[in-house]
Amino acid sequence: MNALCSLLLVLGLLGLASGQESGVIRGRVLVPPGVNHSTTTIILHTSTGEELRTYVNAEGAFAFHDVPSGVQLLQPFNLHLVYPEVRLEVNRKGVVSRAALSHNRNMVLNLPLTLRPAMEAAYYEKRKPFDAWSFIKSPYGIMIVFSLFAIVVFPRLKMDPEDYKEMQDAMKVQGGPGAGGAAGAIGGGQQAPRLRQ
Amino acid sequence: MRGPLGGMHVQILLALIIYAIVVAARFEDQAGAYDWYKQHIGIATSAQFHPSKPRVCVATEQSVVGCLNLRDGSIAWRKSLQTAHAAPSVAYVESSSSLVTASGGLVRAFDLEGGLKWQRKLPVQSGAFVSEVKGKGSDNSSGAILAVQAGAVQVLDAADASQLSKPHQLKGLAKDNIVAADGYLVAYNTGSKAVLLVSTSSFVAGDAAAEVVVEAPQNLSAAAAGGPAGFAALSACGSSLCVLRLGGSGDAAFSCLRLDALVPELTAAPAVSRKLIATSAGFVLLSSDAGAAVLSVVDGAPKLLRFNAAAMGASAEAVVGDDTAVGLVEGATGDKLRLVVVSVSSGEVLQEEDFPAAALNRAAHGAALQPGLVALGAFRKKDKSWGVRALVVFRCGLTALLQQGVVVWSRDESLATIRQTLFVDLPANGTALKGDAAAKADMNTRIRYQVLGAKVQLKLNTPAEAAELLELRGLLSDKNTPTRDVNGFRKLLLALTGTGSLSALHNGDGRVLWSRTFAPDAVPTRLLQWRSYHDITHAPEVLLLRETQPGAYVSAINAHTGEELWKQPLTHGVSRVVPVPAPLIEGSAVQSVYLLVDHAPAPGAVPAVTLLPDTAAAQAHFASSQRAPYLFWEGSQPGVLQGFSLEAGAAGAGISARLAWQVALPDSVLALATRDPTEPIQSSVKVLSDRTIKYKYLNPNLLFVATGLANGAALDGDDSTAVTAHLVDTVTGRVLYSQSHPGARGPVTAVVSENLVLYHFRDVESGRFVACSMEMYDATPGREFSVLDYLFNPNSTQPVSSLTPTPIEVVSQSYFSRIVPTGLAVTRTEQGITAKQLLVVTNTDQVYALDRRWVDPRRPKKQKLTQDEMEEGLTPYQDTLPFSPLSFATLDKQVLGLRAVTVEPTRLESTCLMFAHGVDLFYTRLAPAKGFDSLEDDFNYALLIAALVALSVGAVIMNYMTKQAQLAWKWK
Repeated sequence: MNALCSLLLVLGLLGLASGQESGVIRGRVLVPPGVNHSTTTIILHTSTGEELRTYVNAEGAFAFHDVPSGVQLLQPFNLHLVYPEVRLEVNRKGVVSRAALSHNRNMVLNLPLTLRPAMEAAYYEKRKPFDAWSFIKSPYGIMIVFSLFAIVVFPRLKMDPEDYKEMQDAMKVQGGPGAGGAAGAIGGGQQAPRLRQ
Repeated sequence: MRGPLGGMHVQILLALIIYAIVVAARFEDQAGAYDWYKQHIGIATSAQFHPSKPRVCVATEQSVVGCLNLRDGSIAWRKSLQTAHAAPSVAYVESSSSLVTASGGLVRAFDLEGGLKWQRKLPVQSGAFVSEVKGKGSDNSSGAILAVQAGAVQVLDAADASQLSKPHQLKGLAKDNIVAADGYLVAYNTGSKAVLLVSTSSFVAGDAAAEVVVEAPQNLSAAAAGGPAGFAALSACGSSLCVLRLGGSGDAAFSCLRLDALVPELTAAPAVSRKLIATSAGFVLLSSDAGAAVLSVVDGAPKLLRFNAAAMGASAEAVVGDDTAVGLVEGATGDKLRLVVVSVSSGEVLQEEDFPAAALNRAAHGAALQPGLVALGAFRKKDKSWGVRALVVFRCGLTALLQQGVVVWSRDESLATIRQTLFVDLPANGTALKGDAAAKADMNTRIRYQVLGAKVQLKLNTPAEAAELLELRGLLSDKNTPTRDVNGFRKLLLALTGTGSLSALHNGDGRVLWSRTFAPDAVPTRLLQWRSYHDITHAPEVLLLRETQPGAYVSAINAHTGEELWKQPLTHGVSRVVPVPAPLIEGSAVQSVYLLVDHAPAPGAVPAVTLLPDTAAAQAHFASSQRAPYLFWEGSQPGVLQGFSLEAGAAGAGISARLAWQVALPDSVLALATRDPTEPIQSSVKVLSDRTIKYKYLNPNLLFVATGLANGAALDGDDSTAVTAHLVDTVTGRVLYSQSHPGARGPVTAVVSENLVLYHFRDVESGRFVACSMEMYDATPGREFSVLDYLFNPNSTQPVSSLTPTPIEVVSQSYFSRIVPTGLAVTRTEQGITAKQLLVVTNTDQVYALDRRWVDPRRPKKQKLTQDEMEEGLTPYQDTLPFSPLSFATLDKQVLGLRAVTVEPTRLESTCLMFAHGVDLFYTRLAPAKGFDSLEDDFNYALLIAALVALSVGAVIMNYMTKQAQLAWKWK
């Protein structure tokens, strides 16, 4: 019975809206499933600089009465959704002559208004799913990569002390001015001993 | 010129780093880590139990209607009626189960689930009275609503608000008090004898209503009630009860009976402290100090059925089983509350129940438990007998549900009435506030917390683990410790409420640490900083001020304990408090100095100004302060600004004020804004990418004024309208600059910060809101800048005088804004180095944090930026300001009835604290340029340690493996 009543009410609203009432703006706010109308508010900024507010019924329908003529801005609000603003032109008879999106007036809306959300309002940044590359780029990753580099590559640059002694002995035996340069070319770790020579 | 530029590099670099960081948004798992949110509904003025669900629906002084869950007191739904501080007139229509409210020129009908059934505008924007009346004939089952406003009566169908008859105009109904009683509207002025009677059935029928004027034997007070038994009012002197018999045979006739004859036990009291409640058989007379009399009225003659001397509150009648009864609440002063249910027809006590009051006394923080509103409801118990429950709203704001011998729940609604807030430091370590030790967590919990944190960060968690992390974070965090911390994050938040209490909230979780309640005739109206100390042994002091005479006073309060240190009556009222910019330093104490201004808005009136504290030291400080403060305000005529110069006299002689200037602006003033004189400014110059220097115009006597067509005035056809912005010097009244926006109108909101003015207005043609930013620079030709002078020669700075104004260069730019502001504020950090965010209070009760770079008037109008422009941190111009839900400082919360935002710097340059209050409360920590100087609180040490351990293990293994490899190689 209740459902029937509300259906009749909605039909009634739609029927009335098509019959150009004076000073009345009607519409419906659509929400996706999972979002309710508990925070839905419709704010009308009238041409007289006033702010009128209304809420919606269980079906999302709303109506403003006694709206003055001129350009009005309709601001639909729901905490979890973002709706575009609507620019309404109300003529001197009090009839809405044109409804369009405020940021793009070529987007004309049909009357009675059906307001659809543009997007969900995301108030929190989303954490990205685990991604190996982004982990490597993070401070932890860079630390690990650098340390691994240090562990794996640096020992290879170092020479075994016994080998080094052998090589020095070999150089002493060989002598000659070019020998120091040759030793330097073998590895980077020999700089200090070479100076001692 | 090369020298100074080198020095500027660091600044540019710093600015770049700050600008390069995008919106400082928060992750979902961080919700509640730095913020808290409390939902309130306000102080209920009427309550009605839901007919089928376990709910109680209320309308409150904060103009909110909503329903509370009876099980736990949570809010099932609520809607704001958007009128400032006025309780709506409410009628509950049983046939259509809807709440009809009238406030702010609108009549609205809500179903009991929060849906709006209909809404109608009333002719004027003032309070109205709504009442349910019987519909036309028997076919109309939905009932009719009578809306009375300033003598105009409308009859609306309760189901769809269609007009059942033409609106009636009855001048006689425009009176102080309108009461609906037994098919009549009764209207009279307080303190008069003439009472107007109009039959409501004639309104519904659409007939010309017959007005009957009845003369009362005595002058009537505002305490009146109307019901099936007729109309009753107390006499103006409070000694008699006058009852008007309505309907039946014969004429309406008044009869007055002395109260001492009717109720001999009742002590004499003025009429204002008494209340009448109508019942089906008569009336309940309630005295606010104590005592309730249940009266029956037969043929216009009242008769006492029962007198209860201990009753402090009484409910409207409710059906309990086969009887109708009222609930009386007794003994709110002791450790017990008693609910007595009295039959209205016989005066018999039907039920009596005791409730422990200890928990309520604790929740009220020592305030007296005086019931302001009681609502009685009946329910069937399991054994099929009838039980009663009562919603009791105490004057201190505490709202409680009493049922079956227990206080089921209580809500402290006094915080929904916060007028002013102030952040103060907590005590230092070791001098902690008593009885507030946090539980220490053991090591295992800490390790578990770190492991969970790592999992959440790597997205390897289950939802249950995420919830556990949040719980552990609250447990382990030291944000709720009641002592101050090194970073200055933990603070005490003092809040002055409309119920007359000063409460101290901990900013970690919003719990009340102490609260102090004032008597109704000594309710303070202003909360100000008074004295703070550099040493940690002294508690800061705050000042409470009551502005209105009689009873104006100032008193100092210890901010850590709530103890009153001294109180001093004022000999005059205070219409305005002007802080002297620089505080007075007395040893280790920092003493704030104020000017108390008493000013009547009459032409030619000179304000009386006194200094507070009125000591010789304060007088000398005022006389020697670098610049004398100037007073200014809107004059008695619209569009006129007046400025006064002040001169200090001898101590105690007061300060003389003299009208210095007067400016008449062509339109009405839409907004005024000045810079906060204590705002820290890091640099007085701005370095552009081409290494030229611009000097910021930082005149401390700058006033921004916006003028235009008054709000609410209709725009007539071809009339052109414009919003004009003026910059006025408050010392000389000179208009330094003005710019006009044709085709624009109010409302205007404005804020001044450093050398930036941001103001919003509305563009008439597109209907959209426009944000305009103005940056002001000193355009004195030939100014040179030397870093050596800047650092070492304090005399090198040139004094700027209002009397010899410097030319100003103004750069200005306008943007469309999707955010509709009702107020503006600016973030504030310790040194003012961090890039600022503008905090826009939106008309949807949120706070939007707008980076200053988006309103930089120098944003280039091209898509491809040059290297120089990028270095400066400029972004390409777009006609609309960016709108990102990530930028809402209030996150996914709506602070219902948002009135003001308070910002407090911390000791960390990156971070400031924000508190937003309305009916709801919201607190958060803001980092306008992210936390560049600290690790985040939830920095995951577990991940760091895991990485280090993995490295060490790797190093050991690799070391071993290398040795093995070398050995193997040598054996070759």
